[in-house]
Amino acid sequence: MMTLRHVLSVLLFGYPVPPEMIDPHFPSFLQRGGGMLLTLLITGLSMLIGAILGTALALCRREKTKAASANAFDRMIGSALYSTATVLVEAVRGLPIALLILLTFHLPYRLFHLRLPDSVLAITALSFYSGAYLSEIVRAGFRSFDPSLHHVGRVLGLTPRQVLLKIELPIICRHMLPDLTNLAVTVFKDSSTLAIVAVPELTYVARQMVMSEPINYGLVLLLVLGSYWVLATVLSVLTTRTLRLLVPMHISF
Amino acid sequence: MDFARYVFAPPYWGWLCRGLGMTLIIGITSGLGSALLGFLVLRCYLSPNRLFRATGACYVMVFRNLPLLPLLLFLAFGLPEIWRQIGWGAFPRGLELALLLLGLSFNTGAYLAEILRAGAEAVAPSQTEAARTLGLMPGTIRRRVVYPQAVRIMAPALASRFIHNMKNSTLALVVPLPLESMELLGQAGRIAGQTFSWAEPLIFVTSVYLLLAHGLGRLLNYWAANEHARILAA
Amino acid sequence: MKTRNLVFVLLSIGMVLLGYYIGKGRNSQQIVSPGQKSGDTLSKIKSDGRLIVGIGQEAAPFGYRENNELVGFDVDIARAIAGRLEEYAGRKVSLEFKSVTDETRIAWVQSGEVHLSLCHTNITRKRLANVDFSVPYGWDGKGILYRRAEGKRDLDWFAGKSIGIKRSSSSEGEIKSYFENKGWTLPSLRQFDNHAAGIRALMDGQIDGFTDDNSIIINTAMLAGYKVGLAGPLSMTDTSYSPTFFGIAAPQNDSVWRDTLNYCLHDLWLSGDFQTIYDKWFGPKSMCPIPLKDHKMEPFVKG
Repeated sequence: MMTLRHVLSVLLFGYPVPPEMIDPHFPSFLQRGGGMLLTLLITGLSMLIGAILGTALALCRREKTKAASANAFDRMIGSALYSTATVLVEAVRGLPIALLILLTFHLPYRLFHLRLPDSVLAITALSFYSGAYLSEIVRAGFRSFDPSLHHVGRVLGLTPRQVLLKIELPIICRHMLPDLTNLAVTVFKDSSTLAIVAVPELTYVARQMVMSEPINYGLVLLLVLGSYWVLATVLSVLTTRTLRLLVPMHISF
Repeated sequence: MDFARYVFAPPYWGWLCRGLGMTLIIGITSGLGSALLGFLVLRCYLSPNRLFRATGACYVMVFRNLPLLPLLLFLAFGLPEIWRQIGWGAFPRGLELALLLLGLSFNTGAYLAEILRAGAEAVAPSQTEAARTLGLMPGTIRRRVVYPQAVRIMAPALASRFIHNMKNSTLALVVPLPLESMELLGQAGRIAGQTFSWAEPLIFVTSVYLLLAHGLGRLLNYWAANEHARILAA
Repeated sequence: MKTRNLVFVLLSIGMVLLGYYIGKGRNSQQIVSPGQKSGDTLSKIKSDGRLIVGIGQEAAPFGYRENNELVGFDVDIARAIAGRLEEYAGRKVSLEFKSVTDETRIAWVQSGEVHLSLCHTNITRKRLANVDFSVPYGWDGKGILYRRAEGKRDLDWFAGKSIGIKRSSSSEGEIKSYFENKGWTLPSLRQFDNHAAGIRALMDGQIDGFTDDNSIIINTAMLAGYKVGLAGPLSMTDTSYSPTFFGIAAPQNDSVWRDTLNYCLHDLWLSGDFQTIYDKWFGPKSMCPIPLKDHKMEPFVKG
């Protein structure tokens, strides 16, 4: 029974989830998985949500939002957004990932009576994590953007929003590529911390396995470390390649 | 929520203070360890010997892509087991703290080495050449010209890595240290295990970490900015 | 930059204060109307038909993986109770599991996140101060597991030695008070994430003993391939330092709900279903037999 094939398939897909464990109010594909598959799912989704969150936070923290508006009300909203975003980013960046995960798992029900499945909580925690770091990367990207290009866009008859979407973001994206890849790999690796709250991702599955089968913990952990390493290495190469394909090349200068 | 009962009451308050002390000790010791490793690897990178360069590159490649929690689990549980299975007898006892520090240092060391290498590459080659024409030995050039500038150029990145290392020490949670020498988050978990109340100790630890990361961050950033300014002025 | 720092310090202080005041409000509320309203949980189940059970997955034979499936005494009891509950709720009840760990099994019952938790929970007075328990549905004791090859040990040998415990178990307090009462030097305690890791550390010579509920330790050791007793490398002390009663944790001060759980258990006992389930996990053929004849659930008289 204890074949290598069995061990690998458990590490890859996790143990099957009993039907009672699936909360019908949430999509079941989030709750059915386990092992490496769940690790990848959590990493992918939280990078995606983190990208949206991070860009929003970075836009809130642009100096322009705070100062440039003539209207007093706009200025107030701008500075409120600025400080909220700053506090959020600095708070998340100041916390260890283990603590962030524990907070996400213990506070929602206690404070708001929200009962969420473990994987949703996991994605929430990691989205905040990646979002906070991503907003710093995006901000650095904005700073590296040459403001004269903005005027060029306006002269060509683009609206400010078009300038942002068509010129600014693509250029910034290319600047951010290496940092983004690093962040994706970091989130992928740090998702292993979810084991402390019993989310059945790769590291926790290893723990589950030694709890119910006569197997060498050391060897299982070596396998786990090996698969993290291989995937992180592949991930860092692949993301750089694919993102370079997705982001238009002709804007580079 | 009842902080008076779950945080500021004995014995929990004592546990948390002790935990903070251990966090600082673990963070600083492993920070120093990783700095040492970082410099060793930098030395390997700068070496003319291809073997040394390859070793350094391998180390960074391996440890940069290894997640810390499974690594610590492996050091704490996997290593003794494999040791015994190989037939080397019982694994020496009482090494948990040492292995934890080793794991943290190896992890952060890989990042520090990369940062330092980028710093060393940023030092203009003309300076090394100038030093060589002045007749300085390669060792002296490294110590007096390359290293100090590399550290200064990369000071902000180094500072943020040290803080990250301090935060990583929370993962000591999974290592079976004696109860008295567990770090802050471990002690918070211990309180939660006894009082069944997670929110209070967690919120307390959160505020400690925010102040710690911010205070330490300011201190290190102050140092980093000074060093950075010095290199710009030079 | 300066304002940012100020905002930050204020935020940290503010968070603690805010938490304190929110908590103060909640606590004073609790004194006026303790916990949830009586009968709250059962009426909630009656209205939405969901029974949310916190289930432990990390300890054989209570909840663990066998041939990939989640099985165990607690799992079977949870399913049986959900079946019985339909009579008391007067409607179909859908059973939902939420995975709990030793750290969360009490806290989540207390906060109401789960309606009950079945996670090999020992009934202790400290826990009773925070949640209520059903009548005991399992019986065991706590001894210390040690390496048999180094000679026979009893509890007194462990004075001053290093002993592994499971994180968030009640063993820490129990062992300390037992050793203090006997006047022995306190052992140095180490917390482990899971039983399997602790037992492996014991085999590797990293600790002198490992302790928790006997049945969990023996089952876990057997599953890990280490026999306990005369035929194997490990052995259990003959005396135990604490008896164990397992109970279903239910929210504090909800007597209707606790009574319902008791009635469900009693119905299972009277119908013989309980004995069948018990025999499957603790009967003579199981890895750690605990004969039911020494223990008994006393059903309340119907009528």
